[in-house]
Amino acid sequence: MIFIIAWRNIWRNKSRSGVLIASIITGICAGIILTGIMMGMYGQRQDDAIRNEVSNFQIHTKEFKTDNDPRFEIQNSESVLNIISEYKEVRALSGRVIAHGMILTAGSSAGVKINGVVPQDEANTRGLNAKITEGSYLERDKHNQILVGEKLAHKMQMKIKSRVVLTFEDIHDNVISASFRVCGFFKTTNPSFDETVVYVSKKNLAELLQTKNEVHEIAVLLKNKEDAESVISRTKKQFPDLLVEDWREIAPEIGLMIDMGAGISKVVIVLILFALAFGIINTMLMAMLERTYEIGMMIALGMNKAKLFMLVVLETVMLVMAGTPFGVLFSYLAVSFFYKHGIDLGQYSKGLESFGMSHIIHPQVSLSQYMQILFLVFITALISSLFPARKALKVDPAESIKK
Amino acid sequence: MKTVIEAHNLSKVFNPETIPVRAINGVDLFVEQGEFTALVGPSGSGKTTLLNMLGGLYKPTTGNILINNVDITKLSENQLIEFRLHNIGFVFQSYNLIPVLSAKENVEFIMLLQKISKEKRETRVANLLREVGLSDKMEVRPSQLSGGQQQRVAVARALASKPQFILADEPTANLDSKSATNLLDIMDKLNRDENITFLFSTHDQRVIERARRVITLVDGRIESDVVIETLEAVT
Ligand SMILES: Nc1ncnc2c1ncn2[C@@H]1O[C@H](COP(=O)(O)OP(=O)(O)O)[C@@H](O)[C@H]1O
Ligand SMILES: [Mg+2]
Repeated sequence: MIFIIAWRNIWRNKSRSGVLIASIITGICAGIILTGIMMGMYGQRQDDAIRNEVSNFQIHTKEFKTDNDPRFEIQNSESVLNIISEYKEVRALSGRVIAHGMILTAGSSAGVKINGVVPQDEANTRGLNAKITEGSYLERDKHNQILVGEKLAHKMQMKIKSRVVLTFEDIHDNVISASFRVCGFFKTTNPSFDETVVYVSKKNLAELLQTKNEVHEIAVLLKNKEDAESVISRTKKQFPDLLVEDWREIAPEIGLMIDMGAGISKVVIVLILFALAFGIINTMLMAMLERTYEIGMMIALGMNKAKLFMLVVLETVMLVMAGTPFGVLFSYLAVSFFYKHGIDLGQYSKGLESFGMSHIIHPQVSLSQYMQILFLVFITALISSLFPARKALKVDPAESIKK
Repeated sequence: MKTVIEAHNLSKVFNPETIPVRAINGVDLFVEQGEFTALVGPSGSGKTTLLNMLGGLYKPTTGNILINNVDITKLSENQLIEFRLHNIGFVFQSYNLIPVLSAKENVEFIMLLQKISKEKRETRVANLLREVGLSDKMEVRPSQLSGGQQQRVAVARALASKPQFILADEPTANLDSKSATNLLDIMDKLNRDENITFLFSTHDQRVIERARRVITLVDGRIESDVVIETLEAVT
């Protein structure tokens, strides 16, 4: 019966309840769509980082990681590569020879990370072949070919077929200078990557470094990111002497940015909930004020405080929850629509792209995020109901019944 | 005869700190089971205050109230609520009913608070509404009932909890004379047939005539106390 009274009470002042329900629907939509945009934005950034830059995880020697000296190669890298390529979860992997050095043109110079790669492997892991904007992709084992980022090329005024010089130290600490011809420009979604990374053939770089056909880095791309944890722990067990790190450890700044995005959306959601709470409290306090007589009468008849408290809490929670199905439905429709068609943040895109983000966002919200938001709305309703409930308990039956 | 209300030296002072109002001043009162008693007196004489104290809605400033030998002035607020639920039936002047509940649900409500089983509730609600002549209005909301019908539902509800007595503060004040007579007939019949104790306040002469004991209050004191049927004062 308390349930019935609470439910019917909601609909006594239809316009007042309607306004509150509308604001709840709006609040839920705002919260869910914002979460969707944030998750879409950062989820995309994460996916981009994995697909275009760091892969799901990478393997180095422990020494290389701290020192970057080309001496610290992965021993028997051929067999390591073979073993990992047999894992059924692996989509692609690439072994890289790496040197840190300078790139020089007639007029300028810049510090770069030189990746010696097998073109096909790099195409499979980073999709590098698809990111050529001018010229052509690397050819296997072809000497003195270099692929540079479009941004670096523009800065240093390189053209296709320009001659550039790379200088770096080999494993015997000799300074090596070698001349290359630019075969193509690439462009990823991350400008700072495009400015600091160049590609040459693996065999070419290995010979210059005088390494023994071993690699410094193995990048592994998985079919599903959900498998990362188990594959990484398996790899660690199998190669205890090597350093196996997931993408977050390789690129902590991206992880940090994603965490920050999630943090910001949490803060905004809390603010939305606060606004809702004030609306709920206001509406319910007004209802209590109007019903002082009735509440006093119920207390006079013998309704105890626990039941009265329950009545108000129930009414508040039901009023709020009456709005949630619509809020969820509308935001689900909006999120699905924009997931398919994307939200184009055209005018802000310059700023976003410098963070390595795409300007077309596909918002996505997981089931658990829906549940989280609904749970938070429920808790907000529960806490908000305490104020009108307290008000109801303070009603003096004899005084309120005097007309 | 069983004494259901026993009040000694009752007084009530409102606002004792600021502008004290002595609403009831040294009242002694006994009410026996089966009485049909009217509390009369001019407006402001203390009728409502006295009824509210007897019903456990006000704490008296001095004095004791024994209902069925329980001193209700000694009960805590929560105990009082529970005591009211099981011992006292209320009929207020108007707006007696919970607006969102039907007539049937309003009567059932009090039995639900008493945790009476569903089958018992169902039959009792039907019987009570029949007794007050509203069998055909069971499912109707208060806003669709006339003032007199609402008061009859209130009487049915007051009876539903099987109280020691029923307190009614000016139950006919907002009714036309036909509805008032009708309500009085029902109360009278319940009193005669089922020995239900009624204590009601009024300043309506026609209602006073129906009472079998009339207590007159003036300035918070009992001025006279007359048993009508025998026309004999009981002091
Ligand atoms: N809550 C209150 N605070 C102060 N004075 C009150 C209060 N309730 C009643 N009174 C005063 O007590 C006196 C008796 O009032 P009441 O019992 O309502 O009389 P009646 O019901 O006979 O008209 C009146 O003078 C009234 O003004
Ligand atoms: Mg009065």
